[in-house]
Amino acid sequence: MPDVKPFAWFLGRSLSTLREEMTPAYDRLVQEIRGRTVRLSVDAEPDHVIEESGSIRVVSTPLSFDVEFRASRPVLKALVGGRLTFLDGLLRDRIHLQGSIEDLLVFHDALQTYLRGAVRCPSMPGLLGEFEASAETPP
Amino acid sequence: MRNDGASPFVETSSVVNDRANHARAIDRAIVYGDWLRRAVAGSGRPHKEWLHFCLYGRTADALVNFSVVDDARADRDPDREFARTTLLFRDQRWRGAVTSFASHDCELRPGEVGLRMGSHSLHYRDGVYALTAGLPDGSAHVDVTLRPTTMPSIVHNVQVGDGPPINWLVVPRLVAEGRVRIDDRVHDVSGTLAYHDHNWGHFGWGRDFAWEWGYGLPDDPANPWTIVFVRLSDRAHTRALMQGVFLWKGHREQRVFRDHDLRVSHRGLRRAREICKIPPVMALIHPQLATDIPSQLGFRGEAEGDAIDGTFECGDVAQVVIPNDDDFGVTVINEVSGRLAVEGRIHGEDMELNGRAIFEFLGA
Repeated sequence: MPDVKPFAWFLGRSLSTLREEMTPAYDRLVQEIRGRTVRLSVDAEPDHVIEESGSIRVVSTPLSFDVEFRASRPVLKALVGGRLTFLDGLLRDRIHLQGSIEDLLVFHDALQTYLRGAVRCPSMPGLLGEFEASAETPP
Repeated sequence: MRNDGASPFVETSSVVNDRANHARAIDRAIVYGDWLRRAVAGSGRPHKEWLHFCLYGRTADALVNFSVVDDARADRDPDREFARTTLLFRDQRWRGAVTSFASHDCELRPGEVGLRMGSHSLHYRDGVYALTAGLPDGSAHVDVTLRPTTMPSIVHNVQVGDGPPINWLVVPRLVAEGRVRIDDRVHDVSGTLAYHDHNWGHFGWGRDFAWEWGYGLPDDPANPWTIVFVRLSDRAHTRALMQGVFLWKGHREQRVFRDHDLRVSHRGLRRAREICKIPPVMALIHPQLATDIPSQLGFRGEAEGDAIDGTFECGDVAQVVIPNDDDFGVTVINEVSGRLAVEGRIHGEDMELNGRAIFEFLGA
């Protein structure tokens, strides 16, 4: 039975994959989130995405943040599976976003850059499948 | 050996009116024309190739697209290619998926009519295609044989905007035998008419081109007429690069209306309440429901005493959303089901065709 992989596992590896397989998207992402901290909480696992010396790091230590995104694994799966739009997730309170308007706009652009890069990475479907499969088989 | 000098796409008069010879001529043209090309080493630009099948049955539809495309990323590996199937099924609603296959799980042999990608396969033997494919979650599957009943038409060097030309082979009418299963509903599609084409060439998604394309097969299989409509334009849809209506009667191509023979019109805009996005993850990037699909597409062809009038009424929409090769944008292929009605007069004979149809509208 596979271990349940935390969201930080997927996030860290997906960013490494983006850097390796779709470098222009990674570089653009670095530029977009530069100077900001994004807190991502999936099933109460808070992780923080920060830019540091031209790299994006995922850290779990509590930090102040500029934008917070909160959702559950089932919501992430529904988003990836096309069964829920980002807007509907927000309007139905299944996604929580917090931050100033300016920072939320930056987050939106950075998320789009991440997604548009991710869909061009040959290894990303396998990585996502591994993450989803681990979540479906709790120990 | 394929090239014996004579074009397999041109029949001689001795084979006309002979059903067995027609079948042999069609078979020969497919063997000579519908083979897998794949990239030529050192060509420099990413090569794309796909084989497309549409089955529009009484109670269920299936679209199957096998594609082999070169790595198009900026720092691409020139020897890397991706094998994928894009599948769409519909009985109560559209559903579908794009599935990628590792190279070790594929049989892709240049020169062969047929291929295998995982458990999805296409084989051609004794004048019949055998096609098997299904969604990865197991919710839909197609397992059919398809017997071509029209001569293929092959068009080389179709200019698409600012890139090198592409090539197109079309087999517009095949007769299916077999089944489509969607959830636990098994649809017998035996006797249903189907469509196939094969495209290959060097071009990039997102470049300055778009297409409108559709085919029409009659509800009544006894009706001998088959039609294909195609129009290539710039990406803004303001300049037509080429357009044509191809008309077959029985197994033979009967008439082509080209470019200035044709007037194409759009009426209204199709406003969909929901759109199935394939692959589903692309809905995160392209969630919008607004499209530039017309609610009705009309065409009128007129030349040398022949005339044809057609109207396609757009219905349900599914979108295949493809990442552009040279930027972070996407190209959207709108697969639109609907009804096509055509009437005209060809070589002194009245013709009429009514049937369900699928048109594609490529948009930004």
